[in-house]
Amino acid sequence: MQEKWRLLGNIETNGAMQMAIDETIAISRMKNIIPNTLRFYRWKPPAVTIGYFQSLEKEVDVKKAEDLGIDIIRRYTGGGAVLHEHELTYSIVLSEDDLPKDIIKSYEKICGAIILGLKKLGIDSEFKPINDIVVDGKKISGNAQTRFGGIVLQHGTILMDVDIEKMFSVLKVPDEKIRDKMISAAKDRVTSIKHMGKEISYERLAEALTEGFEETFDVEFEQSEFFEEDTALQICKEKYATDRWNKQR
Amino acid sequence: MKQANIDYKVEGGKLLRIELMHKNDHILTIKLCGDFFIHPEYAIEDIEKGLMGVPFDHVSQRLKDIIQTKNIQLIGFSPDDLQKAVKQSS
Repeated sequence: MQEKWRLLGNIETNGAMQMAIDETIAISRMKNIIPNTLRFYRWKPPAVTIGYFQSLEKEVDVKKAEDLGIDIIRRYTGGGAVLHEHELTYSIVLSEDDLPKDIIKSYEKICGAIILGLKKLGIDSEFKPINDIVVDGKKISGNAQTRFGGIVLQHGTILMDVDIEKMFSVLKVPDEKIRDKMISAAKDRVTSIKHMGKEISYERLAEALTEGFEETFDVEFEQSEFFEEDTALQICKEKYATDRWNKQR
Repeated sequence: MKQANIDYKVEGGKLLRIELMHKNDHILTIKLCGDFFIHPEYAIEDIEKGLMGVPFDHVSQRLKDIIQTKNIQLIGFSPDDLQKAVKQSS
């Protein structure tokens, strides 16, 4: 019989809470309270997340983000700054034993599930090390993982649409003189489901990706409720919603 | 004592954004930011502390020692990349 993993329904909430939920699931998995867990989610309001090692001050125009009603949160995971708006975000928490020990290979394995899911929707994509998925060389998905206590938490985005101008209006560029150049370079480097001329709903995308995970890991998902909300609220309040965390670097 | 802000894009890797206080080609303090990964994440503090007082030419070796001793994994840059980046300020 196939192993059963847990699938959570869509929780639409703010970025600090989304990051707290991901961490909560990872902690529950570490304590062996829950099986490996996959979930898909959206950000309300839109948010910029920065990688664990990024400096908020260097990466984000805080004033502009505030003006546009965009939250700013530092992730538990490394990687780059992302504007989360027209996308599907996934997170998967699993035991290290279910993945290759090598970190890049483990990205490849999880991204393989996404790639398989996209293929079911007629989208041919491939893994681009270190942590991207590309379609015809253009990035459609960025991914980031952390590991602790024998578990792996990986979350990532699949772009359903992308507004590069808006993205660059809230993300700072290292050199203002080349902002326009960077915007046009990013337009050549980034794509989305909409930019490929596809019309795929969030629900259909989540369904296809779930199938991709089931086949890649040879498991079956069981729909479940999120029952650790109190813990997540606490982690949100004490960590992701604080300047102490978000402006740490 | 001099201060330097260095952006160094690793070929095929990530962007290192470094804030450096240095004197006579030695690191006094270093703050290492960027879109790279370090596992475990909190080990960044061991790295930044461990590089204090280190001559630029020994950065790579010192970082190799730290990651080996503390069982740290760097993704997106190597000890040699960090040494090259730091030396841009000399």
